[in-house]
Amino acid sequence: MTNSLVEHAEVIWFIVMLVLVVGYFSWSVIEIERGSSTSYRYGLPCFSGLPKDAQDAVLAFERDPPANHTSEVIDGILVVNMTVTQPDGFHPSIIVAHTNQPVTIMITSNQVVTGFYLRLPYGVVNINSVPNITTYVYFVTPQTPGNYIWHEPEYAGWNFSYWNGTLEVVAA
Amino acid sequence: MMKTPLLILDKISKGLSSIFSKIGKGANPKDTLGVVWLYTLGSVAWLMALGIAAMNMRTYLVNDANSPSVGPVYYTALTLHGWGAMLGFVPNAALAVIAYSLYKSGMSIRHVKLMAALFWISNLALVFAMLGGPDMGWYMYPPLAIEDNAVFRAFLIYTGKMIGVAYTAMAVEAILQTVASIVLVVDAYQTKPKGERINIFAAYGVAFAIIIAMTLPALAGAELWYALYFFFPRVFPVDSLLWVILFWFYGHPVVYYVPFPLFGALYYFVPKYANRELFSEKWARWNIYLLAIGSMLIWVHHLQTWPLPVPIRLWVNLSTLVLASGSGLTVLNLGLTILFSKGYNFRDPIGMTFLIALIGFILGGIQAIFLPENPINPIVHDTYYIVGHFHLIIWTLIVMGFTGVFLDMLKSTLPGFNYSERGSKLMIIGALLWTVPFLLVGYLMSTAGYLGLIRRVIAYAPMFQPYMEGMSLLAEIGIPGLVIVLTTAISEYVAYSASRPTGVTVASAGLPSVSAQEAKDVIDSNANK
Repeated sequence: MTNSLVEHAEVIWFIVMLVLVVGYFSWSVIEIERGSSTSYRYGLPCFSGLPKDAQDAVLAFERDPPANHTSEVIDGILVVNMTVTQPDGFHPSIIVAHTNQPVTIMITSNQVVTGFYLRLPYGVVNINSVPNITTYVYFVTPQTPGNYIWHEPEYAGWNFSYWNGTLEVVAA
Repeated sequence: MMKTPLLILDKISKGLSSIFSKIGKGANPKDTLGVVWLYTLGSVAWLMALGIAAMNMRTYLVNDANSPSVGPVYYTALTLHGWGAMLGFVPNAALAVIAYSLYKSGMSIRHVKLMAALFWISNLALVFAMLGGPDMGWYMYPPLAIEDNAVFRAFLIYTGKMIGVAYTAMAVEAILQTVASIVLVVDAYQTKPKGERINIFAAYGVAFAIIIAMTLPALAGAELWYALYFFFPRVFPVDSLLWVILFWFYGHPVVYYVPFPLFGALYYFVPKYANRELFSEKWARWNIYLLAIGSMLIWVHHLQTWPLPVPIRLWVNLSTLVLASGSGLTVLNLGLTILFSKGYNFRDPIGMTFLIALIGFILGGIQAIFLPENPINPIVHDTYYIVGHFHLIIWTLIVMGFTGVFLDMLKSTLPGFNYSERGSKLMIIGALLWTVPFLLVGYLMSTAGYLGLIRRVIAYAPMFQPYMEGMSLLAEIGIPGLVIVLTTAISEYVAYSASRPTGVTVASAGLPSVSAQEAKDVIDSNANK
């Protein structure tokens, strides 16, 4: 028995690897279909990653921008229009939201490749933004009030380490 | 009484003279091994340069009072580290290992002078670009890498069209390295023993010389694009996304340039030190196709947080996992070779370095298996987790594997030479002294990255200060380990070389002339006492 296993070790390994690959791949597909990962389905750039109601909110924001051109709550979703510029980073650098509130950030960074990295209690939002392509971030704020710091994850200049912002989550 | 110190001094003198003579010969090689040594010494020089840059960076990283003004110096060191590694060490080391694989399979390099010329021109071109003080990082992402204004300068010293000249030099470097890999393939074809199959080491070497020739032109093209932009900005505007795609078509396979030829070395040497045949040579050879083709198809996984459509993301996931299976097959094949042997000879320094290379590859590879998973990748993308992962592979598979090849090269260069028992012990201690601290550095990096430490930053949350200090301290402990291995090997080589009965009399200034045979007699008589 042992000798037979050893003799066919490569074939066994091939089957094991095939099962692992199919398993991992299927998991990835299921995660996408369910949209259960904040960091993937809802964090996906190119607009397609946004849930339908967030897409509608972004379209409404773009059709009729608010007077401050920065943020507006549309159908319960906080839409933030954010730009990232050298050398001072994120504009705005403070976002105030209620607990358990959906947030959509439209990131525009025309000078340099940048990104957005935010650790929330239930996961990480991490995306890159490419010049001339608007990137969309979607997440739901935590259920407990508090401040959460987001960071610039991409090397975008000598002082990119200092490009941060604060998500202030306040009681609803 | 007076004769022994004089003999020692004479031995040192002759050893040094032998080293200088070999360096002189190495600069202008005459045969296949000469080419191997030229590219090896080149890669070692880049390894030292990139190591110095890394330790310079660590000095800043443990300073708790950094400010944005540190940026230009830090990111220049970062870029010199990255360029030294990926544009200097990697291609030179890969070509050295591939050339050595030809030698070990009874093939030879016919275009020796051409290989030497390609070495010197390509490396000097890179040195020229580096002298401009690049600080845009190895990725050279646009538009950062073509910025030249008050906010950011891609080169601290070169400005305007000089940046275009620097990128031209870099394109020349990539083109010449491509030519060098093609020369090795052509020479392998021309000198292959008729009717014989080349050994597994050379099979991997030649296969990945072809991969270098197919992927490095993408970098040359990307760099040429930058160069043209600086000379004709309106005709050749740079598109960020397209440039990045071009870069990663080269940028992912390049991480295999050294490891995959080293897989060939592992397949060749591990059975020797396990004192049995390779468990399955058939699968080892089939695996070449999987690794070679796969290496060119999975590069998009570097862009999983970028604006990419869902089908491409799914392809990234699937293709990366398939390649990981091929790597797993390598591990299984070598693991079973060792497992079913009557005892692996890890007391030999070459056996030990290849064993470390294999184990390190397993450890570094395991923590990367999850990375192509779309839900997991963003958790660690652009963090120290990734830095820890690839450094674990570098410090073990690449550095220790390359060291193993280096130790064998010394033996091939001087027929009859072998390491003494004491020297072997010292080298094994050195290899472990290098490996253990650097494994810990890798895991510290990965842990900090998982907890949120962004890579490339000079300012970070105070909670990461102990991690940074730990990394720096462990690196300082580990570096002497590699120095011990290399200096022990070289000194034993020099001692043996000097004591060989050549019959040639060497005279040194201020010393009586002593023939090598006389020296050997004295050493032998002392050893017999």
